[in-house]
Amino acid sequence: MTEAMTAALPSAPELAEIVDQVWASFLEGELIAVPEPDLARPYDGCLVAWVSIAGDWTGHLSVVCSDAAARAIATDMFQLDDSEVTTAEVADALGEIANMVGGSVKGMVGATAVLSLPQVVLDAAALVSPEARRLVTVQAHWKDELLEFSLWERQPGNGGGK
Amino acid sequence: MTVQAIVIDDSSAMRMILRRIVTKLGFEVDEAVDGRDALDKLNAAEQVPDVALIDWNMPEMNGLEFIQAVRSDPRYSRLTLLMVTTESEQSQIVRALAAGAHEYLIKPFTPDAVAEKLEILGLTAGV
Amino acid sequence: MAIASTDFNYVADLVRREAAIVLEPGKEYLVEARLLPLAREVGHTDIGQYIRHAQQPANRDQRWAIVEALTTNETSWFRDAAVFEGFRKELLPRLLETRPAHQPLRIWSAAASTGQEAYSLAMLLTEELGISRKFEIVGTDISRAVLAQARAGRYTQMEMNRGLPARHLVRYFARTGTAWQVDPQLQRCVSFRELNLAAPFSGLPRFDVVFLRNVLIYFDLSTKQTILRRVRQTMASDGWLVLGTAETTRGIDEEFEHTRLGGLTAYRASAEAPLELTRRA
Repeated sequence: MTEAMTAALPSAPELAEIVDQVWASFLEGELIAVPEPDLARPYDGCLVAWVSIAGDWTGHLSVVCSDAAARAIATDMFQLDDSEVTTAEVADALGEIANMVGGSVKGMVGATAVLSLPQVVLDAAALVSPEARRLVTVQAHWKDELLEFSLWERQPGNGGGK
Repeated sequence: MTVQAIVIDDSSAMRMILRRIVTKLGFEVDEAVDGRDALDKLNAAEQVPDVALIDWNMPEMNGLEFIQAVRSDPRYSRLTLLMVTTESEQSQIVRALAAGAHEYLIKPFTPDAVAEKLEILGLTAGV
Repeated sequence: MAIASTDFNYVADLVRREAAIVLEPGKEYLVEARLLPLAREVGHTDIGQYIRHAQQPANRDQRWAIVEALTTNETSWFRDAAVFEGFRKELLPRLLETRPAHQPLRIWSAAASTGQEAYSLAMLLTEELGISRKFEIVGTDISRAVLAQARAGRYTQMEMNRGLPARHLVRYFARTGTAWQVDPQLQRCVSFRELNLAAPFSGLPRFDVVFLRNVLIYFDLSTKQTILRRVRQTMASDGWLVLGTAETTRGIDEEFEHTRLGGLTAYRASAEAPLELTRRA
Protein backbone atom coordinates (compact mmCIF):
# COMPACT_ATOMS: atom_id res chain seq x y z
CA MET A 1 0.00 0.00 0.00
CA THR A 2 1.58 3.29 -1.01
CA GLU A 3 1.27 6.26 1.24
CA ALA A 4 2.21 8.85 -1.35
CA MET A 5 -0.49 11.43 -1.02
CA THR A 6 -0.87 15.17 -0.79
CA ALA A 7 -0.35 16.52 2.69
CA ALA A 8 -3.45 16.24 4.86
CA LEU A 9 -2.86 19.06 7.31
CA PRO A 10 -4.73 19.15 10.59
CA SER A 11 -7.60 21.57 11.04
CA ALA A 12 -7.86 23.59 14.25
CA PRO A 13 -10.15 21.01 15.94
CA GLU A 14 -7.78 18.22 14.90
CA LEU A 15 -4.74 20.09 16.22
CA ALA A 16 -6.67 20.71 19.43
CA GLU A 17 -7.46 17.01 19.71
CA ILE A 18 -3.79 16.12 19.22
CA VAL A 19 -2.81 18.55 21.99
CA ASP A 20 -5.58 17.14 24.17
CA GLN A 21 -4.19 13.61 23.77
CA VAL A 22 -0.68 14.71 24.73
CA TRP A 23 -2.07 16.49 27.76
CA ALA A 24 -4.24 13.55 28.81
CA SER A 25 -1.26 11.20 28.59
CA PHE A 26 1.34 13.14 30.49
CA LEU A 27 -0.12 16.05 32.39
CA GLU A 28 -2.85 16.79 34.87
CA GLY A 29 -5.57 19.37 34.52
CA GLU A 30 -8.00 20.41 31.86
CA LEU A 31 -7.22 22.26 28.67
CA ILE A 32 -9.88 24.81 27.81
CA ALA A 33 -9.62 25.94 24.20
CA VAL A 34 -10.08 29.62 23.34
CA PRO A 35 -12.74 29.91 20.63
CA GLU A 36 -11.22 32.91 18.82
CA PRO A 37 -7.42 32.81 19.22
CA ASP A 38 -5.83 36.23 19.38
CA LEU A 39 -3.10 35.96 16.78
CA ALA A 40 -1.64 39.36 17.63
CA ARG A 41 -1.06 38.69 21.30
CA PRO A 42 2.40 39.73 22.45
CA TYR A 43 5.00 37.10 23.30
CA ASP A 44 6.78 39.08 26.02
CA GLY A 45 7.85 36.86 28.88
CA CYS A 46 7.07 33.78 26.83
CA LEU A 47 9.11 30.78 25.79
CA VAL A 48 8.72 29.04 22.44
CA ALA A 49 9.54 25.47 21.51
CA TRP A 50 9.24 24.12 17.99
CA VAL A 51 9.98 21.20 15.75
CA SER A 52 10.41 21.45 12.01
CA ILE A 53 8.75 19.11 9.58
CA ALA A 54 10.43 18.61 6.21
CA GLY A 55 9.33 16.42 3.34
CA ASP A 56 6.35 16.50 1.04
CA TRP A 57 5.33 19.43 3.16
CA THR A 58 7.64 21.81 4.96
CA GLY A 59 6.84 23.85 8.02
CA HIS A 60 7.05 23.84 11.77
CA LEU A 61 4.92 23.34 14.84
CA SER A 62 5.46 25.82 17.66
CA VAL A 63 4.37 25.94 21.28
CA VAL A 64 4.36 29.32 23.04
CA CYS A 65 3.63 29.93 26.69
CA SER A 66 4.70 32.06 29.61
CA ASP A 67 7.69 31.17 31.75
CA ALA A 68 5.27 30.30 34.57
CA ALA A 69 3.32 27.93 32.33
CA ALA A 70 6.50 26.25 31.11
CA ARG A 71 7.61 25.74 34.70
CA ALA A 72 4.18 24.27 35.52
CA ILE A 73 4.53 21.87 32.59
CA ALA A 74 7.96 20.78 33.78
CA THR A 75 6.96 20.34 37.42
CA ASP A 76 3.90 18.34 36.38
CA MET A 77 5.68 16.22 33.79
CA PHE A 78 8.60 15.40 36.10
CA GLN A 79 6.64 15.50 39.34
CA LEU A 80 9.01 17.99 40.95
CA ASP A 81 8.60 20.86 43.35
CA ASP A 82 8.43 24.23 41.65
CA SER A 83 11.54 25.27 43.59
CA GLU A 84 13.55 22.34 42.19
CA VAL A 85 12.95 22.95 38.50
CA THR A 86 15.95 24.12 36.46
CA THR A 87 15.90 26.07 33.19
CA ALA A 88 17.23 23.01 31.42
CA GLU A 89 14.32 20.93 32.67
CA VAL A 90 11.85 23.60 31.62
CA ALA A 91 13.35 23.62 28.13
CA ASP A 92 13.32 19.80 28.02
CA ALA A 93 9.67 19.61 29.02
CA LEU A 94 8.49 22.22 26.53
CA GLY A 95 10.66 20.70 23.81
CA GLU A 96 9.09 17.31 24.47
CA ILE A 97 5.59 18.78 24.17
CA ALA A 98 6.56 20.29 20.80
CA ASN A 99 8.08 16.96 19.80
CA MET A 100 4.96 14.97 20.60
CA VAL A 101 2.47 17.40 19.10
CA GLY A 102 4.72 17.88 16.07
CA GLY A 103 5.17 14.14 15.77
CA SER A 104 1.44 13.57 15.54
CA VAL A 105 1.13 16.33 12.96
CA LYS A 106 3.99 14.79 10.98
CA GLY A 107 2.12 11.49 11.04
CA MET A 108 -0.73 13.14 9.18
CA VAL A 109 1.50 14.91 6.73
CA GLY A 110 3.16 11.95 5.09
CA ALA A 111 5.54 9.06 5.17
CA THR A 112 8.56 10.87 3.80
CA ALA A 113 8.51 13.78 6.24
CA VAL A 114 11.28 14.16 8.77
CA LEU A 115 10.92 15.77 12.18
CA SER A 116 13.77 17.88 13.52
CA LEU A 117 15.01 17.83 17.08
CA PRO A 118 13.07 20.30 19.19
CA GLN A 119 14.46 23.80 19.70
CA VAL A 120 13.55 26.00 22.62
CA VAL A 121 14.02 29.75 22.81
CA LEU A 122 13.68 31.41 26.18
CA ASP A 123 12.52 34.73 24.80
CA ALA A 124 9.74 34.23 22.29
CA ALA A 125 9.29 37.96 21.75
CA ALA A 126 12.64 38.04 19.93
CA LEU A 127 11.70 35.21 17.57
CA VAL A 128 10.97 35.85 13.92
CA SER A 129 10.03 33.15 11.40
CA PRO A 130 11.08 34.42 7.99
CA GLU A 131 9.36 32.91 4.98
CA ALA A 132 6.74 31.17 7.03
CA ARG A 133 3.04 31.75 7.29
CA ARG A 134 0.75 30.70 10.09
CA LEU A 135 -1.81 28.07 9.02
CA VAL A 136 -3.57 26.92 12.16
CA THR A 137 -3.49 28.20 15.73
CA VAL A 138 -4.98 26.72 18.86
CA GLN A 139 -4.92 28.68 22.12
CA ALA A 140 -5.98 27.03 25.34
CA HIS A 141 -6.08 27.83 29.03
CA TRP A 142 -4.39 25.45 31.41
CA LYS A 143 -4.02 26.17 35.12
CA ASP A 144 -4.81 29.85 34.51
CA GLU A 145 -2.10 30.11 31.88
CA LEU A 146 -2.50 30.62 28.14
CA LEU A 147 -0.84 28.11 25.81
CA GLU A 148 -0.54 28.54 22.07
CA PHE A 149 0.09 25.87 19.44
CA SER A 150 0.62 26.93 15.85
CA LEU A 151 1.29 25.16 12.61
CA TRP A 152 3.41 27.22 10.21
CA GLU A 153 3.98 26.53 6.55
CA ARG A 154 7.17 27.40 4.72
CA GLN A 155 6.41 30.10 2.24
CA PRO A 156 9.46 31.27 0.30
CA GLY A 157 9.31 34.98 -0.45
CA ASN A 158 6.97 35.78 2.46
CA GLY A 159 8.03 38.57 4.83
CA GLY A 160 9.07 37.68 8.41
CA GLY A 161 6.08 36.28 10.32
CA LYS A 162 5.39 36.19 14.05
CA MET B 1 14.89 -11.72 39.94
CA THR B 2 13.76 -8.20 39.01
CA VAL B 3 13.15 -7.44 35.38
CA GLN B 4 15.77 -5.08 33.96
CA ALA B 5 14.81 -2.38 31.51
CA ILE B 6 16.84 0.20 29.64
CA VAL B 7 15.26 3.39 28.32
CA ILE B 8 17.00 4.81 25.25
CA ASP B 9 15.92 8.31 24.25
CA ASP B 10 17.78 11.56 23.56
CA SER B 11 15.05 13.52 25.35
CA SER B 12 15.70 13.68 29.07
CA ALA B 13 12.02 14.48 29.55
CA MET B 14 10.98 11.23 27.88
CA ARG B 15 13.59 9.25 29.79
CA MET B 16 12.21 10.65 33.05
CA ILE B 17 8.63 9.87 32.10
CA LEU B 18 9.37 6.30 31.03
CA ARG B 19 11.62 5.68 34.03
CA ARG B 20 8.80 6.66 36.33
CA ILE B 21 6.22 4.49 34.56
CA VAL B 22 8.43 1.42 34.26
CA THR B 23 9.73 1.69 37.83
CA LYS B 24 6.14 1.77 39.08
CA LEU B 25 5.58 -1.49 37.23
CA GLY B 26 8.30 -3.04 39.38
CA PHE B 27 11.20 -3.03 36.93
CA GLU B 28 14.77 -1.78 37.46
CA VAL B 29 15.59 0.95 34.98
CA ASP B 30 18.80 2.10 33.33
CA GLU B 31 19.07 4.90 30.76
CA ALA B 32 21.00 5.72 27.60
CA VAL B 33 20.94 8.90 25.52
CA ASP B 34 21.16 7.29 22.09
CA GLY B 35 21.90 4.04 20.30
CA ARG B 36 25.67 4.38 20.61
CA ASP B 37 25.46 5.05 24.35
CA ALA B 38 23.10 2.09 24.74
CA LEU B 39 25.42 -0.29 22.86
CA ASP B 40 28.35 0.82 25.02
CA LYS B 41 26.27 0.10 28.13
CA LEU B 42 25.24 -3.33 26.81
CA ASN B 43 28.85 -4.20 26.04
CA ALA B 44 29.95 -3.19 29.50
CA ALA B 45 27.07 -4.81 31.37
CA GLU B 46 27.47 -8.01 33.33
CA GLN B 47 24.00 -9.03 32.40
CA VAL B 48 21.97 -8.17 29.33
CA PRO B 49 18.74 -6.37 30.30
CA ASP B 50 15.39 -7.99 29.60
CA VAL B 51 13.82 -5.15 27.64
CA ALA B 52 14.89 -1.97 25.86
CA LEU B 53 12.46 0.91 25.26
CA ILE B 54 13.87 2.68 22.25
CA ASP B 55 13.17 6.03 20.66
CA TRP B 56 13.63 6.27 16.89
CA ASN B 57 15.17 9.67 16.15
CA MET B 58 18.40 10.09 18.10
CA PRO B 59 21.83 11.48 17.18
CA GLU B 60 24.93 9.23 16.84
CA MET B 61 22.89 6.07 16.31
CA ASN B 62 19.14 6.10 15.89
CA GLY B 63 16.69 3.53 17.19
CA LEU B 64 16.42 1.59 13.97
CA GLU B 65 20.19 1.29 13.69
CA PHE B 66 20.40 0.20 17.32
CA ILE B 67 17.81 -2.52 16.72
CA GLN B 68 19.69 -3.74 13.66
CA ALA B 69 22.95 -3.83 15.61
CA VAL B 70 21.40 -5.75 18.50
CA ARG B 71 19.58 -8.27 16.33
CA SER B 72 22.73 -9.15 14.47
CA ASP B 73 24.62 -9.83 17.70
CA PRO B 74 24.00 -13.24 19.32
CA ARG B 75 25.09 -11.90 22.69
CA TYR B 76 21.89 -9.86 22.84
CA SER B 77 19.42 -12.43 21.57
CA ARG B 78 17.42 -12.38 24.81
CA LEU B 79 16.92 -8.60 24.73
CA THR B 80 13.31 -7.71 23.96
CA LEU B 81 12.96 -4.59 21.82
CA LEU B 82 10.05 -2.16 22.30
CA MET B 83 10.14 0.89 20.09
CA VAL B 84 8.56 4.01 21.66
CA THR B 85 8.35 6.86 19.18
CA THR B 86 6.36 9.61 17.54
CA GLU B 87 6.82 7.91 14.15
CA SER B 88 3.31 6.74 13.36
CA GLU B 89 3.23 6.03 9.65
CA GLN B 90 2.44 2.47 8.70
CA SER B 91 5.59 2.17 6.60
CA GLN B 92 7.75 3.20 9.56
CA ILE B 93 6.15 0.64 11.85
CA VAL B 94 6.68 -2.04 9.20
CA ARG B 95 10.34 -1.02 8.89
CA ALA B 96 10.85 -1.24 12.63
CA LEU B 97 9.23 -4.66 12.90
CA ALA B 98 11.19 -5.90 9.88
CA ALA B 99 14.44 -4.67 11.46
CA GLY B 100 13.64 -6.77 14.51
CA ALA B 101 11.60 -4.66 16.93
CA HIS B 102 9.31 -6.94 18.90
CA GLU B 103 6.69 -4.31 19.65
CA TYR B 104 5.90 -0.68 18.94
CA LEU B 105 4.28 2.08 20.97
CA ILE B 106 3.31 5.45 19.49
CA LYS B 107 3.73 8.67 21.50
CA PRO B 108 1.81 10.06 23.29
CA PHE B 109 0.96 7.10 25.48
CA THR B 110 -0.59 6.53 28.89
CA PRO B 111 1.05 4.43 31.62
CA ASP B 112 -1.62 1.76 30.99
CA ALA B 113 -0.59 1.53 27.36
CA VAL B 114 3.03 0.89 28.37
CA ALA B 115 1.94 -1.77 30.86
CA GLU B 116 -0.16 -3.50 28.22
CA LYS B 117 2.66 -3.51 25.68
CA LEU B 118 5.02 -5.04 28.22
CA GLU B 119 2.38 -7.67 28.97
CA ILE B 120 2.09 -8.51 25.28
CA LEU B 121 5.84 -9.07 25.39
CA GLY B 122 5.43 -11.42 28.33
CA LEU B 123 7.24 -9.09 30.68
CA THR B 124 5.79 -8.54 34.09
CA ALA B 125 7.66 -7.65 37.26
CA GLY B 126 9.09 -10.51 39.24
CA VAL B 127 9.13 -12.91 36.30
CA MET C 1 -17.12 24.54 10.65
CA ALA C 2 -17.26 26.01 14.16
CA ILE C 3 -20.12 24.96 16.38
CA ALA C 4 -22.65 27.67 17.21
CA SER C 5 -22.86 28.58 20.90
CA THR C 6 -26.56 27.68 21.09
CA ASP C 7 -25.71 24.21 19.73
CA PHE C 8 -22.78 23.86 22.11
CA ASN C 9 -24.98 24.87 25.05
CA TYR C 10 -27.59 22.31 24.03
CA VAL C 11 -24.97 19.55 24.00
CA ALA C 12 -23.45 20.73 27.29
CA ASP C 13 -26.89 20.70 28.93
CA LEU C 14 -27.66 17.28 27.54
CA VAL C 15 -24.48 15.58 28.78
CA ARG C 16 -24.73 17.28 32.14
CA ARG C 17 -28.27 16.05 32.64
CA GLU C 18 -27.68 12.54 31.34
CA ALA C 19 -24.16 11.75 32.45
CA ALA C 20 -23.15 14.45 34.97
CA ILE C 21 -20.39 15.50 32.58
CA VAL C 22 -19.46 19.17 32.68
CA LEU C 23 -18.48 20.74 29.36
CA GLU C 24 -17.16 24.24 29.87
CA PRO C 25 -16.95 26.72 27.01
CA GLY C 26 -13.56 26.04 25.48
CA LYS C 27 -14.38 22.42 24.78
CA GLU C 28 -16.07 23.20 21.47
CA TYR C 29 -13.28 21.48 19.59
CA LEU C 30 -13.94 18.27 21.53
CA VAL C 31 -17.65 18.36 20.73
CA GLU C 32 -16.91 18.98 17.05
CA ALA C 33 -14.36 16.18 16.84
CA ARG C 34 -16.59 13.63 18.60
CA LEU C 35 -19.88 14.51 16.88
CA LEU C 36 -18.68 14.73 13.28
CA PRO C 37 -18.46 10.92 12.86
CA LEU C 38 -21.98 10.57 14.28
CA ALA C 39 -23.25 13.27 11.92
CA ARG C 40 -21.69 11.52 8.93
CA GLU C 41 -23.26 8.24 9.97
CA VAL C 42 -26.72 9.78 9.45
CA GLY C 43 -25.78 11.71 6.34
CA HIS C 44 -25.09 15.16 7.76
CA THR C 45 -21.88 17.10 7.15
CA ASP C 46 -22.82 20.05 9.30
CA ILE C 47 -22.69 19.81 13.09
CA GLY C 48 -25.54 22.30 13.50
CA GLN C 49 -27.79 20.28 11.19
CA TYR C 50 -26.93 17.11 13.03
CA ILE C 51 -27.72 18.64 16.41
CA ARG C 52 -31.09 19.86 15.13
CA HIS C 53 -31.69 16.33 13.86
CA ALA C 54 -30.85 14.95 17.31
CA GLN C 55 -33.21 17.44 18.97
CA GLN C 56 -36.26 16.01 17.24
CA PRO C 57 -38.35 14.07 19.76
CA ALA C 58 -38.21 10.87 17.70
CA ASN C 59 -34.40 10.81 17.63
CA ARG C 60 -33.69 9.75 21.17
CA ASP C 61 -31.04 7.31 19.99
CA GLN C 62 -29.04 10.19 18.52
CA ARG C 63 -29.19 12.06 21.80
CA TRP C 64 -27.86 8.91 23.47
CA ALA C 65 -25.15 8.66 20.84
CA ILE C 66 -24.06 12.20 21.65
CA VAL C 67 -23.83 11.42 25.36
CA GLU C 68 -21.83 8.24 24.71
CA ALA C 69 -19.49 10.00 22.31
CA LEU C 70 -18.50 12.47 24.99
CA THR C 71 -17.90 9.82 27.65
CA THR C 72 -14.38 8.39 27.67
CA ASN C 73 -14.06 4.76 26.76
CA GLU C 74 -11.36 2.56 28.23
CA THR C 75 -11.54 -0.63 26.16
CA SER C 76 -8.41 -2.56 25.15
CA TRP C 77 -7.73 -4.89 22.29
CA PHE C 78 -7.21 -8.55 23.18
CA ARG C 79 -8.31 -7.80 26.71
CA ASP C 80 -7.09 -10.55 29.06
CA ALA C 81 -4.43 -12.04 26.82
CA ALA C 82 -4.72 -15.45 28.52
CA VAL C 83 -8.31 -15.73 27.30
CA PHE C 84 -7.33 -15.14 23.70
CA GLU C 85 -4.35 -17.45 24.03
CA GLY C 86 -6.55 -20.21 25.49
CA PHE C 87 -9.06 -19.63 22.73
CA ARG C 88 -6.37 -19.88 20.08
CA LYS C 89 -4.44 -22.84 21.42
CA GLU C 90 -7.10 -24.97 23.08
CA LEU C 91 -10.66 -24.06 22.22
CA LEU C 92 -10.33 -23.35 18.52
CA PRO C 93 -8.61 -26.64 17.60
CA ARG C 94 -11.34 -28.55 19.46
CA LEU C 95 -13.99 -26.66 17.54
CA LEU C 96 -12.33 -27.21 14.19
CA GLU C 97 -12.20 -30.95 14.81
CA THR C 98 -15.95 -31.17 15.21
CA ARG C 99 -17.16 -28.75 12.55
CA PRO C 100 -17.39 -29.64 8.85
CA ALA C 101 -14.85 -27.66 6.84
CA HIS C 102 -17.47 -25.83 4.77
CA GLN C 103 -19.38 -24.59 7.80
CA PRO C 104 -18.42 -21.09 8.93
CA LEU C 105 -17.54 -20.71 12.61
CA ARG C 106 -20.00 -18.38 14.31
CA ILE C 107 -18.92 -16.29 17.27
CA TRP C 108 -20.97 -13.84 19.30
CA SER C 109 -19.37 -10.89 21.06
CA ALA C 110 -22.30 -10.17 23.36
CA ALA C 111 -21.13 -6.93 24.98
CA ALA C 112 -19.40 -5.57 21.93
CA SER C 113 -19.16 -1.92 22.98
CA THR C 114 -16.88 -0.07 20.53
CA GLY C 115 -15.90 -3.32 18.82
CA GLN C 116 -12.41 -4.11 20.07
CA GLU C 117 -13.32 -7.64 21.23
CA ALA C 118 -15.09 -8.51 18.00
CA TYR C 119 -12.28 -7.21 15.79
CA SER C 120 -9.63 -8.83 18.02
CA LEU C 121 -11.38 -12.18 17.51
CA ALA C 122 -11.55 -11.47 13.78
CA MET C 123 -7.80 -10.80 13.63
CA LEU C 124 -7.05 -13.94 15.60
CA LEU C 125 -9.27 -16.09 13.40
CA THR C 126 -7.89 -14.61 10.20
CA GLU C 127 -4.40 -15.58 11.34
CA GLU C 128 -5.33 -19.03 12.59
CA LEU C 129 -7.73 -20.13 9.89
CA GLY C 130 -6.27 -18.71 6.70
CA ILE C 131 -8.54 -18.81 3.67
CA SER C 132 -9.56 -22.42 4.08
CA ARG C 133 -12.22 -21.80 6.69
CA LYS C 134 -14.73 -19.04 7.07
CA PHE C 135 -16.02 -17.35 10.15
CA GLU C 136 -18.67 -14.84 11.12
CA ILE C 137 -18.62 -12.64 14.16
CA VAL C 138 -21.71 -10.89 15.43
CA GLY C 139 -21.18 -8.06 17.90
CA THR C 140 -24.14 -6.79 19.89
CA ASP C 141 -24.64 -4.07 22.44
CA ILE C 142 -27.57 -2.15 23.87
CA SER C 143 -25.99 1.19 22.99
CA ARG C 144 -26.30 2.50 19.45
CA ALA C 145 -23.57 5.04 20.01
CA VAL C 146 -20.85 2.52 20.73
CA LEU C 147 -22.11 0.34 17.88
CA ALA C 148 -21.76 3.30 15.53
CA GLN C 149 -18.06 3.45 16.32
CA ALA C 150 -17.75 -0.34 16.14
CA ARG C 151 -19.35 -0.38 12.69
CA ALA C 152 -17.19 2.50 11.52
CA GLY C 153 -14.11 0.66 12.78
CA ARG C 154 -12.38 3.96 13.42
CA TYR C 155 -10.15 4.40 16.47
CA THR C 156 -8.04 7.20 17.92
CA GLN C 157 -4.30 6.91 18.46
CA MET C 158 -4.91 6.47 22.20
CA GLU C 159 -7.35 3.60 21.61
CA MET C 160 -4.88 1.96 19.22
CA ASN C 161 -2.17 1.94 21.91
CA ARG C 162 -4.28 -0.23 24.21
CA GLY C 163 -3.09 -3.81 23.93
CA LEU C 164 -2.94 -4.11 20.14
CA PRO C 165 0.11 -6.04 18.90
CA ALA C 166 2.02 -3.96 16.36
CA ARG C 167 1.95 -6.70 13.73
CA HIS C 168 -1.87 -6.56 13.79
CA LEU C 169 -1.84 -2.80 13.57
CA VAL C 170 0.15 -2.80 10.36
CA ARG C 171 -1.78 -5.68 8.83
CA TYR C 172 -5.35 -4.74 9.66
CA PHE C 173 -5.46 -0.95 9.98
CA ALA C 174 -4.76 2.14 7.91
CA ARG C 175 -4.22 5.69 9.11
CA THR C 176 -6.89 8.21 8.34
CA GLY C 177 -6.24 11.76 9.55
CA THR C 178 -5.48 11.60 13.27
CA ALA C 179 -7.18 8.19 13.57
CA TRP C 180 -6.92 4.59 12.34
CA GLN C 181 -9.39 2.57 10.30
CA VAL C 182 -10.04 -1.19 10.32
CA ASP C 183 -9.35 -2.85 6.98
CA PRO C 184 -12.62 -3.31 5.05
CA GLN C 185 -11.72 -6.97 4.38
CA LEU C 186 -11.73 -7.61 8.11
CA GLN C 187 -14.92 -5.64 8.58
CA ARG C 188 -16.66 -7.96 6.15
CA CYS C 189 -16.36 -10.81 8.64
CA VAL C 190 -17.89 -8.82 11.48
CA SER C 191 -21.40 -7.40 11.82
CA PHE C 192 -22.87 -5.35 14.62
CA ARG C 193 -26.43 -5.03 15.80
CA GLU C 194 -28.36 -3.56 18.64
CA LEU C 195 -29.55 -6.03 21.24
CA ASN C 196 -30.80 -5.80 24.79
CA LEU C 197 -29.65 -8.89 26.69
CA ALA C 198 -32.39 -8.42 29.27
CA ALA C 199 -35.11 -8.76 26.62
CA PRO C 200 -35.91 -11.78 24.42
CA PHE C 201 -33.49 -12.13 21.52
CA SER C 202 -34.44 -13.02 18.00
CA GLY C 203 -32.84 -13.31 14.62
CA LEU C 204 -29.53 -14.68 15.91
CA PRO C 205 -27.79 -17.60 14.26
CA ARG C 206 -26.64 -20.69 16.14
CA PHE C 207 -23.29 -19.81 17.75
CA ASP C 208 -20.25 -22.00 18.28
CA VAL C 209 -18.74 -19.63 20.85
CA VAL C 210 -20.30 -16.83 22.87
CA PHE C 211 -18.19 -14.17 24.57
CA LEU C 212 -20.25 -12.66 27.36
CA ARG C 213 -17.53 -10.92 29.29
CA ASN C 214 -17.96 -8.51 32.18
CA VAL C 215 -21.57 -7.66 31.45
CA LEU C 216 -23.59 -10.02 33.67
CA ILE C 217 -22.39 -8.00 36.66
CA TYR C 218 -24.80 -5.24 35.65
CA PHE C 219 -27.86 -7.44 36.21
CA ASP C 220 -29.62 -8.90 39.22
CA LEU C 221 -29.61 -12.65 39.83
CA SER C 222 -32.91 -13.45 38.19
CA THR C 223 -32.01 -11.47 35.07
CA LYS C 224 -28.58 -13.15 34.97
CA GLN C 225 -30.38 -16.50 34.98
CA THR C 226 -32.72 -15.46 32.20
CA ILE C 227 -29.84 -14.17 30.12
CA LEU C 228 -27.77 -17.33 30.55
CA ARG C 229 -30.75 -19.48 29.65
CA ARG C 230 -31.42 -17.45 26.50
CA VAL C 231 -27.73 -17.48 25.60
CA ARG C 232 -27.62 -21.25 25.99
CA GLN C 233 -30.53 -21.49 23.55
CA THR C 234 -28.55 -19.62 20.90
CA MET C 235 -25.57 -21.93 21.28
CA ALA C 236 -24.84 -25.11 19.41
CA SER C 237 -25.34 -28.04 21.76
CA ASP C 238 -21.57 -28.42 22.11
CA GLY C 239 -20.92 -24.69 21.88
CA TRP C 240 -18.80 -22.74 24.33
CA LEU C 241 -19.46 -19.76 26.59
CA VAL C 242 -16.69 -17.45 27.76
CA LEU C 243 -17.26 -15.09 30.69
CA GLY C 244 -15.08 -12.42 32.31
CA THR C 245 -12.09 -13.78 34.24
CA ALA C 246 -13.70 -13.03 37.61
CA GLU C 247 -17.10 -14.39 36.64
CA THR C 248 -18.71 -17.83 36.89
CA THR C 249 -22.02 -19.50 36.09
CA ARG C 250 -21.88 -21.31 39.42
CA GLY C 251 -24.71 -20.23 41.66
CA ILE C 252 -26.55 -18.82 38.65
CA ASP C 253 -27.04 -21.57 36.13
CA GLU C 254 -26.22 -25.19 36.94
CA GLU C 255 -26.83 -26.31 33.35
CA PHE C 256 -23.35 -25.11 32.44
CA GLU C 257 -20.18 -27.04 33.17
CA HIS C 258 -16.83 -25.38 33.24
CA THR C 259 -13.63 -26.61 31.62
CA ARG C 260 -10.15 -25.15 31.96
CA LEU C 261 -8.45 -24.73 28.61
CA GLY C 262 -5.01 -23.34 29.31
CA GLY C 263 -5.51 -19.87 30.76
CA LEU C 264 -9.14 -19.85 29.68
CA THR C 265 -12.16 -21.09 31.64
CA ALA C 266 -15.00 -21.89 29.24
CA TYR C 267 -18.50 -23.24 29.82
CA ARG C 268 -20.57 -25.77 27.94
CA ALA C 269 -24.10 -26.99 28.39
CA SER C 270 -23.77 -30.03 30.63
CA ALA C 271 -24.72 -33.43 29.21
CA GLU C 272 -27.65 -33.55 31.64
CA ALA C 273 -29.12 -30.25 30.44
CA PRO C 274 -32.52 -30.76 28.83
CA LEU C 275 -32.44 -30.51 25.04
CA GLU C 276 -33.77 -27.11 24.08
CA LEU C 277 -35.97 -27.28 21.03
CA THR C 278 -35.62 -23.88 19.42
CA ARG C 279 -36.15 -22.47 15.99
CA ARG C 280 -33.17 -22.54 13.70
CA ALA C 281 -32.31 -18.98 12.82
